[in-house]
Amino acid sequence: MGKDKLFGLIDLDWRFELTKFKLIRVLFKSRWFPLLLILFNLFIFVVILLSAFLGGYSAGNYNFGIMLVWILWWVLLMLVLVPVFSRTWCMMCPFPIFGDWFQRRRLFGVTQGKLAGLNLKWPKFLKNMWIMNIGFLITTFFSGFFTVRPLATFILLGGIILLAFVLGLIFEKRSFCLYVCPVSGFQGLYSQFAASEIRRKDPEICRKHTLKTCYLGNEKGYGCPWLLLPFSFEKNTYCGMCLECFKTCPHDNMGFFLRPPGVDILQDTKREPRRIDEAYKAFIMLGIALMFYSVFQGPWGVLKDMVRATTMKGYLTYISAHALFSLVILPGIFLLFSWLSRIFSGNKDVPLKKIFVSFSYTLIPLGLGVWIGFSFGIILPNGSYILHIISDPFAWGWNVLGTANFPWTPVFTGLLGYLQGATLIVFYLFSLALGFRISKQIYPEKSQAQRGWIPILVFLTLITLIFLWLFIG
Amino acid sequence: MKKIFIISLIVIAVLSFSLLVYKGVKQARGIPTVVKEKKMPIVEVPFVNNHIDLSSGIGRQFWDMRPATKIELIYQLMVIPWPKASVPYVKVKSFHNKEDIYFYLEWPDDTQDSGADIKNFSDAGAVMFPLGKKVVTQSLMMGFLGKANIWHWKANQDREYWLGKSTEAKVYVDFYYPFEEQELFAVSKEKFDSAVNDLVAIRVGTITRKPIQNIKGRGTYNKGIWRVVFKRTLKAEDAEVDAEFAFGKKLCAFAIWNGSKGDRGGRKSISNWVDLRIR
Ligand code: SF4
Ligand code: SF4
Repeated sequence: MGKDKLFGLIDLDWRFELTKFKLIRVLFKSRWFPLLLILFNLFIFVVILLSAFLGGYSAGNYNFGIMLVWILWWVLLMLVLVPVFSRTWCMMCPFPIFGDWFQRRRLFGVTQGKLAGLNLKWPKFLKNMWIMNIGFLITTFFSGFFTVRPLATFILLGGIILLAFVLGLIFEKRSFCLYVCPVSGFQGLYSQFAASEIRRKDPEICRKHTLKTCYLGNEKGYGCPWLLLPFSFEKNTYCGMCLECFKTCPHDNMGFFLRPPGVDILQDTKREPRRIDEAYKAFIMLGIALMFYSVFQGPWGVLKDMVRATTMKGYLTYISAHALFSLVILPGIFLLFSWLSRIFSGNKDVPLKKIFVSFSYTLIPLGLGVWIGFSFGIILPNGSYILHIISDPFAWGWNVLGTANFPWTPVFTGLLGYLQGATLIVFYLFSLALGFRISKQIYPEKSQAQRGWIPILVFLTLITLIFLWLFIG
Repeated sequence: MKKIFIISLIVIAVLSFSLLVYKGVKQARGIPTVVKEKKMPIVEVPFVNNHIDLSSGIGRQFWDMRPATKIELIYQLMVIPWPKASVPYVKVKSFHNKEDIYFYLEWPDDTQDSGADIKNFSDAGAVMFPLGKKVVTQSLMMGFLGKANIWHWKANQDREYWLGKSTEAKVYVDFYYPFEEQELFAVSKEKFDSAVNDLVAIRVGTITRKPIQNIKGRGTYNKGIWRVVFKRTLKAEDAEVDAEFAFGKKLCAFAIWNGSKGDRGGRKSISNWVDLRIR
């Protein structure tokens, strides 16, 4: 059988190991890395929190906290970090550092034996994305405040850090990151599309290495804090890229690879099956994107008023419509198309749930494309504010870098819609390419897969057309 | 033990954060400062059986015995042009003798500017009384939001009226057509029958001299102090345009111009509202 190539060009099995370069390998194995990155980010977040606290209800466009979090960080996350480097944000994230510190009783080096804290196991029925799904959706109810009121950003970020610490005291390892962090869910979901991965290199070496130090830990590092089995996992979703397994593996059998985008979407194994909670994450992210774009970058002032809670009635209408759309309407429509898929395929033996869940993964590339488009809409008009705020982070009249008086300068906004449209089309094509492969996984026969694919193709096209209309008008 | 320690740690962390959020919400619009509302200054206008003949002076000896109310002045900043310097205060005294009402104003000024020249402006002082029943008390400007009667004493006018020293010598081109022995054409120079202009205004920029001038006044300058006395009949001639002084409370405000600092027109120092207590 010939190799499976994406668009007939990229071999899906193609990998390029970056850790074969000594410099990167040494870096990944050092205990200073990513600790130094985390400490640097911690410093930045202290400034963010301070400026957001001091900023109070003042306007967000000249606030360091708001600009750095919602313009720079968010855009970096969606534009570069997640699509290219998977969960690299989690690698350098400072939120859980206090929990880690307490559990390990030290910041640098490795604590042998039991970690401090209550070390409870996370309840089994919550070992999924539901808390993150609902948590993130609820967070977006307040998006009209987070992005314009510094204090709201302070409460959100401070709350996340507090919760990470508290849950770190109660539950084992990174339970917070795995099951609660609102930033975690969408990163996990979209990192399935990422063009890089951390995986074991040679399964044979892992098989022979009976003492699984990557899971248990040794004097060089901790057992996987994300409770993964580094020697066997196949999806980026829950690997926080903490690099402990690089340090603990005595055979240097962990690698960081470049790969064709989206290959995890095709993974559906017994250990890492496609799941309805992840499917819902895809719907929620798409629903939020549609809502956000309409509100923040669309021309409808009435929506902006609703999100800003100008009237209580308007605000309640917004959050109800928003929740209903993401949790019921969008998945409901998709269920209808999944049902049509089954009818079209002529195979009534395949469970509808399997069709619904599996095909929902086609929304990952499309959703990511939409978010990248949205991010262009944030950075191009507003990016110039960053020059101002980094020079005067607390609005105390500083001019540290000499850019405090840089005026608001939108760039390439005339081309914005086309850039967004082009991005969307590229990611739509990825959705199609991967979606048809999913169809072949669902239906046993190729003809069934072809027929069953048609309704989903129509759905994806409709969604793309709606966003193209929003972007380009 | 471990459990108790961890629970206490959680409680401390949550409480500290809640406290921070509480503080943040309370101070979200800036650190609260207590602003003491300034009490409105009061000028007593008692009955005193006295009569001042301004033609023989301002009655300094009498005034020196009367109590004064010191009223702080601020820049007039509501409309352009703004002043370049301010007069810090004006001291006010007043009384009535059932026939006439008198106001005495005293303020510091390093220079006596009672002439007029191309670039020189006259010192001046004024009292404003809002007219009508509905007074818009937010207003600081003369006639800013409602009708007002203004008594405007000017140093150069005072000099001309009381001392007969005309200011025309320095600015004669404005007064006489150069080829005539005598003035033939009507010119802008008015003949004053008082050192005080009796004015009305209904909003900014509407100051107008009343056709009938009712106010007398006189000023003296001595060692860096201007002392000016205003006098009018207690009874208003025309309640439409003349301030009424019924017994009880009445609002008024003051304005001072320092000519050598470029004050003229809207460039002036003004007081807030002042309460008159007429007894
Ligand atoms: S899951 Fe959340 S808290 Fe954990 S590392 Fe990632 S972003 Fe940070
Ligand atoms: S597999 Fe575990 S230990 Fe390895 S990088 Fe991912 S999260 Fe860290």
